[in-house]
Amino acid sequence: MVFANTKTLAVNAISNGTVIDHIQAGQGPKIAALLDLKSHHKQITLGINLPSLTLTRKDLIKIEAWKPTQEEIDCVALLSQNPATFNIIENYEVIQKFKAIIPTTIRSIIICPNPLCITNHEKTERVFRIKNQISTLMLECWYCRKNFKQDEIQTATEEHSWR
Amino acid sequence: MSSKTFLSTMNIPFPKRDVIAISDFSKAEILSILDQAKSLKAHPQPSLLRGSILASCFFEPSTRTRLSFESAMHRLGGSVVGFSDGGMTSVKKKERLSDTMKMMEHYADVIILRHPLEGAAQQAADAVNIPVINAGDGSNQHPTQTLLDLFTIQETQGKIEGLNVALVGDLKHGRTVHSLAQACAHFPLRLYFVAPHLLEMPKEICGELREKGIKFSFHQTLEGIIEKLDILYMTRIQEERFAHRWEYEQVKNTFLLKKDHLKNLKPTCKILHPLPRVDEIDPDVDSSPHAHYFSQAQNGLFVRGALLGLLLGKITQI
Repeated sequence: MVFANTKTLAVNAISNGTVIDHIQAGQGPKIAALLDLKSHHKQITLGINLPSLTLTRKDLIKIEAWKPTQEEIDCVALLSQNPATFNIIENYEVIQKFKAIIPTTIRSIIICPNPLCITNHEKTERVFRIKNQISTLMLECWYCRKNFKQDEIQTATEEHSWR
Repeated sequence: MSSKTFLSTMNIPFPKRDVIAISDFSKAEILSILDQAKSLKAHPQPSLLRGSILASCFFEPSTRTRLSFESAMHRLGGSVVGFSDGGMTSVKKKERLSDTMKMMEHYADVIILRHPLEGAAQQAADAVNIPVINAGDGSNQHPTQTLLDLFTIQETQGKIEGLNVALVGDLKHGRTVHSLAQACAHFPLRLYFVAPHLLEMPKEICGELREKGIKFSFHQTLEGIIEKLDILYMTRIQEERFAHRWEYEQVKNTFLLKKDHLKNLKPTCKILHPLPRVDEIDPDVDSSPHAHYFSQAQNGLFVRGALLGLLLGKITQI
């Protein structure tokens, strides 16, 4: 930890891992929960309501020794209204940088909020189709065909899976 | 996962598709099925499905749906295997639905499935390489009922579009009215939802209708609208779907259609009901020329037969 002269607290850069930048302000904790980062045993830094030149305010997550799967990238895209930026770090260098784009379908991580859906009773790969309905993003469960808004999304952590 | 096209629903050639939700069908596809049903009704084809086998898998009770599918199959020359009670199967031993369906795939060419859990039909469809027809998944979808309802409406009114249709009774739990309302998104109808507050049409379906520009309104009684109607679609208050008995007791006799209610109906108005009925239509109504629910049930034979013919590749889609 380095304390600069201007009373600014700086956090160490990570040597290897991922920085998720430009997250919609306030969504960082939900994304951290969705990615089940509390189970990750390496250093994680969560910044909330950080100043941003492009967004006014943003959240940011730095995760050491972690690379996202496509499913995790898709979920971050769903939860952050403005496209989050993934920076993949190796040896302190950004080797890959890309925006999380909202997909047309998303699998596995999100659980269906409908308690009567068969995916909440039998082990089934969860799949959602992403639809735009009058400028509102909706997720349609492939199985029960019910539609849900972004803020109804729940995540499949170890505690939720297979009751 | 089966080799069937995943996550596409509309405009798939019939022999390769499943029938899960009415919203999976385009308007042209629905009209094609209705045309084929009309043709089968006028010109029966007793050998059309010879050599084909239907697996009839009912985990929930059914009279009309199961028997009309099975009868349609037999009348078209095919055969039926299956069960009418999930308790008689390995599901009792906690076998997963997809495993049960994988076994049925070896015994049949097409599966019909009724199951208490929502989304069960799609899960079954994803597990097998033969067509799966949703015969009702919980309170969710019932696409073949909707097809026969549309067929009956078209047959009695000469058209489907531009009609005044009242959906009455348990609009919250009734999968038939959910499916019918969704199908109406293809056909510009004027819908009247007549239900107590506890049993209103779900907001999700109302949202879909709003998006498609379909006009609808909510009513507590038929007063003020009954004389406008072309179709009066009655439904049963579904006691078995209520979480609490006291809620059911509050609403159970809300709508009782009797003969003296019919005097204000248009001469061409038809009364439909997916059946079974309990008290919501008095038996005295049966003799009225407006009563069409038994003919409606019979139409299930022709619509389901047409669907089986299309799915088994024995009828070519128009």
